[in-house]
Amino acid sequence: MTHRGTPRATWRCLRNVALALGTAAACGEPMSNGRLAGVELIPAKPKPAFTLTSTSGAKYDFRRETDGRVALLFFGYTHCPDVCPVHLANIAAAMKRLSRSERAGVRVVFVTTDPMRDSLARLRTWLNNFDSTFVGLRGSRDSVAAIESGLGLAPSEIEPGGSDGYGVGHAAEVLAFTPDDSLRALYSVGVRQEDWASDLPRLLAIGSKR
Amino acid sequence: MNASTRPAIARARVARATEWTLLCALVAACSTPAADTAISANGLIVRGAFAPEPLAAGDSASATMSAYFVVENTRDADTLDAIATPVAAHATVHAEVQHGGMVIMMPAVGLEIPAHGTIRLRPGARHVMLEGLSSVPRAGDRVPLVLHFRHAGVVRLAVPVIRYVSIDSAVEADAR
Repeated sequence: MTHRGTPRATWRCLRNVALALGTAAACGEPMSNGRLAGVELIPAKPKPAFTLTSTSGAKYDFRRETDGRVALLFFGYTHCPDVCPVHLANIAAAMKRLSRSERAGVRVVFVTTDPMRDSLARLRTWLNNFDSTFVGLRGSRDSVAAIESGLGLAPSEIEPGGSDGYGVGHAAEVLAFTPDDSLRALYSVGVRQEDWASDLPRLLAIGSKR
Repeated sequence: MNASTRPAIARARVARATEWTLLCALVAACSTPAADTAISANGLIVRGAFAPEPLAAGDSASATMSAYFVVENTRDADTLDAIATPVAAHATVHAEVQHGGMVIMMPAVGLEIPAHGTIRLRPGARHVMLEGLSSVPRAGDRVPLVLHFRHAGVVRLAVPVIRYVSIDSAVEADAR
């Protein structure tokens, strides 16, 4: 497997991504002041506008579809061995602990970085391992790379080898957008279900339009 | 994990030991005796093994899966030279290596176990990669792994297969 950003389970400095995003925030100590367990971006960054194809086959306008909601955006691929499924399984478990109205305010959006192997059908089947409401998006490698770059993430890379042919290097962080359409926090490898369960209501409350 | 398995061979780089500790008692059924998942052999203790269940995707489940465990060495330095399993064509340790300013995973020849040190394999870091699965294990199954250490000899594990959602409780985050 391969991923970028911080490979270690850590609440420490998300150096690569944090620097790329130009933030001076939250590099270091765990948040213990009642704020987010994730690494907050200060200042928050605006939510990007992009449109990709969802697993239903319809166009999905990320900004419009997630407007006024918490959006958890993650770039990965279905052959991803552990970083992607661990994130999604943990988020799904935490979502089950939310109230119905809280759940309605959260969108989990997974963008494949491996459109060659990840058909829309494969993406749907794989996401259903976690939660059938998770949104799966697919586009050309170039269009996804442009979105990643716009977010300050290094574009995903094909890495030859392995029995499945190749791996895809991608950022290991989940990007959390708040209802005010801001990129507010990053969640690296090692975030726990408990952290999601406590942070999701907080994210929902930040800049809520509802 | 097909992922960054590269044909190139890289030496295992032992990263800082800030990883999680694996809680063997939580890995499988809670009734599983601790002795079942903590194997001692000639000064090595191998414990906390687990392997996530391969996920359904498209027509078939992935032909790969990963496995994790902790090796504690109470004696002199040793090396995990090879891993064998009846359920996969290949079983290899993959380890983090620096590559052009980023961290990627590559097959490692020999996993060094420092004297009186502990090596932890965990999601997102070093792991055992099983490729070419002959059958797809399910949660509740056990995957046999035979670890060949240069000095301590052979250690046989029956690795509990768990769901991804259970990894959270199978791993103790001592890095937090």
